[in-house]
Amino acid sequence: MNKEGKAAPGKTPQSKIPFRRVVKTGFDINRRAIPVLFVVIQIVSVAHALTYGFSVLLTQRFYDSVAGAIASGGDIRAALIPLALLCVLLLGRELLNGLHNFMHSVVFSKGGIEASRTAHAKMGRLDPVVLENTDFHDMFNKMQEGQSNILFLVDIGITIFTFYLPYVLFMAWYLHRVNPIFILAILFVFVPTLFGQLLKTGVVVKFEDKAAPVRRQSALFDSLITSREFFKETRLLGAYTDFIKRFLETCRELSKAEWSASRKKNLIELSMALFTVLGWGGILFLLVRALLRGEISAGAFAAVLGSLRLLFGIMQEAFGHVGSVAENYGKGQNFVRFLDLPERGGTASATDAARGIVLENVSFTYPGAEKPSVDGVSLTIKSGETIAVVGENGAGKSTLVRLLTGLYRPTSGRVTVRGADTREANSESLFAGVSGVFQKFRKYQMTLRENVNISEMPDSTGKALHMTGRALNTAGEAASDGPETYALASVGVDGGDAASFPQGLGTMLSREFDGVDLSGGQWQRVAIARGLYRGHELVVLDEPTAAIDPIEESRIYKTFVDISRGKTAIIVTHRLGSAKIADRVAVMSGGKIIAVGAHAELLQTCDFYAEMYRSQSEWYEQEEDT
Amino acid sequence: MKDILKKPKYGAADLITLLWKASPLYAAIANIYPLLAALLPTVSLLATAAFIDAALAVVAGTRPPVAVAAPVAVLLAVTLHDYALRILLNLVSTKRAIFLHRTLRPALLKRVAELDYSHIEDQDTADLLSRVVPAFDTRVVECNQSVMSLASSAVSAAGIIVTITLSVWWAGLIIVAAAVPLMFIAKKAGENSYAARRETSKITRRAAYLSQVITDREAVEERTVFGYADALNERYYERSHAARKIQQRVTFMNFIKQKAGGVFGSVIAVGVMGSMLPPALDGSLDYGMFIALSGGILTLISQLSWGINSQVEEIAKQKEYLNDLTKFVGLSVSEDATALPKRGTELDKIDFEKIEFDNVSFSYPGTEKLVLDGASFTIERGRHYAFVGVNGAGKTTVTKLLTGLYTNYTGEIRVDGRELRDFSQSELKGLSACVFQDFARIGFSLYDNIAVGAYDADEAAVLAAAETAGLGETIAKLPGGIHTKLLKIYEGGADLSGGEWQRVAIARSLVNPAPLRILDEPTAALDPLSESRVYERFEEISKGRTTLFISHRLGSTKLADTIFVLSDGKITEQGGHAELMRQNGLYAEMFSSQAEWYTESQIL
Repeated sequence: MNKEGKAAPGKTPQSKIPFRRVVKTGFDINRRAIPVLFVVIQIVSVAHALTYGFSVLLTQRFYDSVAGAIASGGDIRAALIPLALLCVLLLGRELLNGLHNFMHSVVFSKGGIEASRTAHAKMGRLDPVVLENTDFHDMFNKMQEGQSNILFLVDIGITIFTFYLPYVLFMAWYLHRVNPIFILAILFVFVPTLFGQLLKTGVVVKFEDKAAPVRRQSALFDSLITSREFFKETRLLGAYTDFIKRFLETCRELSKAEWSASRKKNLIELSMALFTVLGWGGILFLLVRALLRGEISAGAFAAVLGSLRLLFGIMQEAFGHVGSVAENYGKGQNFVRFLDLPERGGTASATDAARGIVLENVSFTYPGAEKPSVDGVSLTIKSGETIAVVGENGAGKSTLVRLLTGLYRPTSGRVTVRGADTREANSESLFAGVSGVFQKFRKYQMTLRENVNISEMPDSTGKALHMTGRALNTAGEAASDGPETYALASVGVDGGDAASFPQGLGTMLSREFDGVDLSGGQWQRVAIARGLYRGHELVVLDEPTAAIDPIEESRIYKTFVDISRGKTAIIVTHRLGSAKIADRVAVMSGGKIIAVGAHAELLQTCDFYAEMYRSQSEWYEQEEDT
Repeated sequence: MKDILKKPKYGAADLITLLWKASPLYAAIANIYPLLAALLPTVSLLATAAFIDAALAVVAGTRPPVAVAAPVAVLLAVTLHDYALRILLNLVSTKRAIFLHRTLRPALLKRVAELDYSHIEDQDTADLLSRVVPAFDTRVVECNQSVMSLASSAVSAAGIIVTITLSVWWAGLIIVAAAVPLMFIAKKAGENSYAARRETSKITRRAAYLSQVITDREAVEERTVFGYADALNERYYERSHAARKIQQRVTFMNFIKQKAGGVFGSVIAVGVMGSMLPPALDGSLDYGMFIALSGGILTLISQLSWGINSQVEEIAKQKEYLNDLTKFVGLSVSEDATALPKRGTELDKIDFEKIEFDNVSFSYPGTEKLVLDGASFTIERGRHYAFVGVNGAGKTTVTKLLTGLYTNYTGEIRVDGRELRDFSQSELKGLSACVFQDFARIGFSLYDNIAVGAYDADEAAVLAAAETAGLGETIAKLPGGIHTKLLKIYEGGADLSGGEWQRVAIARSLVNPAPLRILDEPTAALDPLSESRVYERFEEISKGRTTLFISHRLGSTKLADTIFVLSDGKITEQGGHAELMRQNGLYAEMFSSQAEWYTESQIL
């Protein structure tokens, strides 16, 4: 059983989003995506529903007219007009049905795209620190799931009023008109289907949940045998025999769990079905009695009998929808919750590169963490200065850099970047003129050109590239090929090399999208070109930890040096040796900066730095042997 | 049962026969019952006709009221079947799903486990596997059902048409004549929408990729600093709508066709009803029969114009699956790939004196580039080796050949003179223990993560390996000690840091008694210092064994007795650190390029 109330640490209990807000969010999406269609489809929906009602009425008319014609001695003309009317109605029903279904598919695909766009836009505005929440991944998946729920919710709400209700009201009116006692028929349909639905939502869902943990386990063994992630090791360890044995064991458990769930679920459904049959029998009884008493015509009898299946079907569908409201509301909340996450926000602020970066007693604690990752750090970086940040894994280097650029805002203390307080300035102001090469640089499955210029996407007019100016000044001829080529050339990638890039800059860098793939080293270079391409006065260079051979690695450092010349630069490095290219080195340990100074100075004054440096450099001391 | 995967080619007939091979009992139920049930609409039609005629006779006083009892009973029985019996059949299908999962799935898993390793790394076959494997046991049923639902539509249509023909023979003919084009249109529409879905899948995938970039947690730095989210979102929006428009156009055309069919069908239905009027009026067609037939025709026409195209689309989809299945069974396998590692006895110990690579060349299947191009070297028992080289020089490839994952090399790899290709899978597995760059992090307990595959290791050995690998502190910290479940598959599953996982991987290789230990740079997430510590420790605990490791941190390669430098697929240098430095080749260059950061002179 679920251990509710025992919240995992760091998890905040989820707030309940009011029903109205969830529905309103769905409405807003529809209003943006399909302002006109949304109204039109409701009209079509009502008309569509009524054609089902009218077809019973007209069928009865036709049957009656035939009976009348037979009784009156065989005048066929009396039956022709009702038949023609029926024909027109059937044609109308076909058309409305097609139109309604088609519009429905348009509503959902457009609404789905708009919902994704809304979520994407939100994602872009999110405070980056939110992504560090341990349950963000979970929250995000639930949001994506909730996207369709929120659309369903609105659709169900409206369809009940524009389709099911008109149909049922019409049928009630019709049945009552045929024979007042037939109003009971609506009851005979209503009660079992409603009752069935209540049982279903209350009981059935619970049974299904029970098999879920076993199913997950079975899926794990399955993937240990089949998925690429584990394949090599499963084979070389000879673990197949063990895994398949355990797979079969979980299979047995799973069989039991699923069988028991299915048996209970279906027995409940069976009892529901028996109620439905009872309702059916009740209506049949009313019909037969009325016909035998001569209260209704044979035509009315046949028309009602013929419409019963549809009536039950539609009612079941309607109650199914009503029953799913709770589920859709529950899941739809996740979408609204996502839209409610805190944003980066801030106001437009003027920046002045000459003012450098100032940290005053800055601390930062990740959400849900107990200890701060950066703890009481003060540091001033002058404009034009190159500063290296060093320290062991987990010392807080990456977090510090995220604070220095304004990506994260301090939990306490103050960070001023180029004169702008990072807690107040918005992303646009903070990051204009800031570029970087990040440890987890991306390998975009886009063209080579897009992989470079994504750092400064052309705006709608296709201009405003800081780099263009620089390229023209410093390398007139290279710039004629475009700034992308120039940026690539400066890291040693030749976009014109037909062997590597068959379509030049337009080459798609993705096997999946029928393009080419690059080696790890080449990707790294493209990432540097990307950072270079963006106009910058402040640049962050984070050393990749991925496996790169020593020669490529040295090359990367040298490019870093080139890039940082004359700019304010922050270099994160694991190799203390490379820190000496910086004007100053900040040594981090346990979230604090324990020393700042020039390399040579630190070797004298900071024991920790000297020791780290020695322990690394001794690997490289030339043996005195021979 | 197992020969379900033995056919060379799967065609249309296998839609039906797969299930028969998997389980004749369930196949019989799945294929006979729906056809019988498809006749019920006809039964109900006849009962309605009989009931109306009887009721009218009762009203007219020509027959006693009890005359209506039989038709009413039949109508009720049909209703009971429609609502209730179907649910009992759900239970049968649960049983069937369970049965197939337990019988078919293991057969499939075995087949996958036996695949030649090259298929796993190849992107195209990996995609194929992802289409074939997950749904296999449910697909066997769906294939059968796709045909059955079309067949039962046909039977129920035939039942009604025959009834009509028997009453008014030419009305039946009209319907048959009208049904042919209707079915044709429906079939076409089904095929079209299937084709459209395939066509737009590429655009949809690219839009989905953009969505992934915008929402990727790992991309937060580039996304925020470069500020591209809005621009990409616009592009996502445009592409999604482009795909939607294509799909919508097809959907619209299909609706048009389908509804044209529906309109045509309705006209035919009404025409047939009209043409039955004269016989109804002159009494040659009973009034009850007339009404029941009219109802039957209306149902029939809507079935013909609605149901068939989705059924046809479904069949097209399932046939595509069978094509994939044909490709899947065509993939090469090694029969004994699932064998346990051979451990040997005291007399027949798995061990070696030396392993020789003799002029070995290799390129990955489907590529032309020779990753190894005449590589020759020798590994001797009890010594430590390091492989270095630039990215893509073929270091990892050496480990893949040595462990027997790839066998399509030229030249020879000999273990004490015996060609590696002649080794059984069991012997290969007994020969080496390998820690890969991308070692597996499994949602087991910590204990099971270490003991995985070590079928003959006792608990003491596992605990010792954990201790030796430096997991003592981790175990003390975990709530359930070494038996704490890892990863989030379980509620409350713990996660380890990158460094801790590395130790798990190393502990895993420690419980493995294989004589050759390979460490393939499993240290990407570590800073150089921690990485060096891992290597130092590994060497320390591997004293007396043969080890082979790959690293870019050249400082740690000093630990090796012999360093092999791979370049352009060949061993270009080999020897101890000092010796290679003296040779002043690639190794010296690579070493110096790292070392220069630590020399006192300024390099720039």
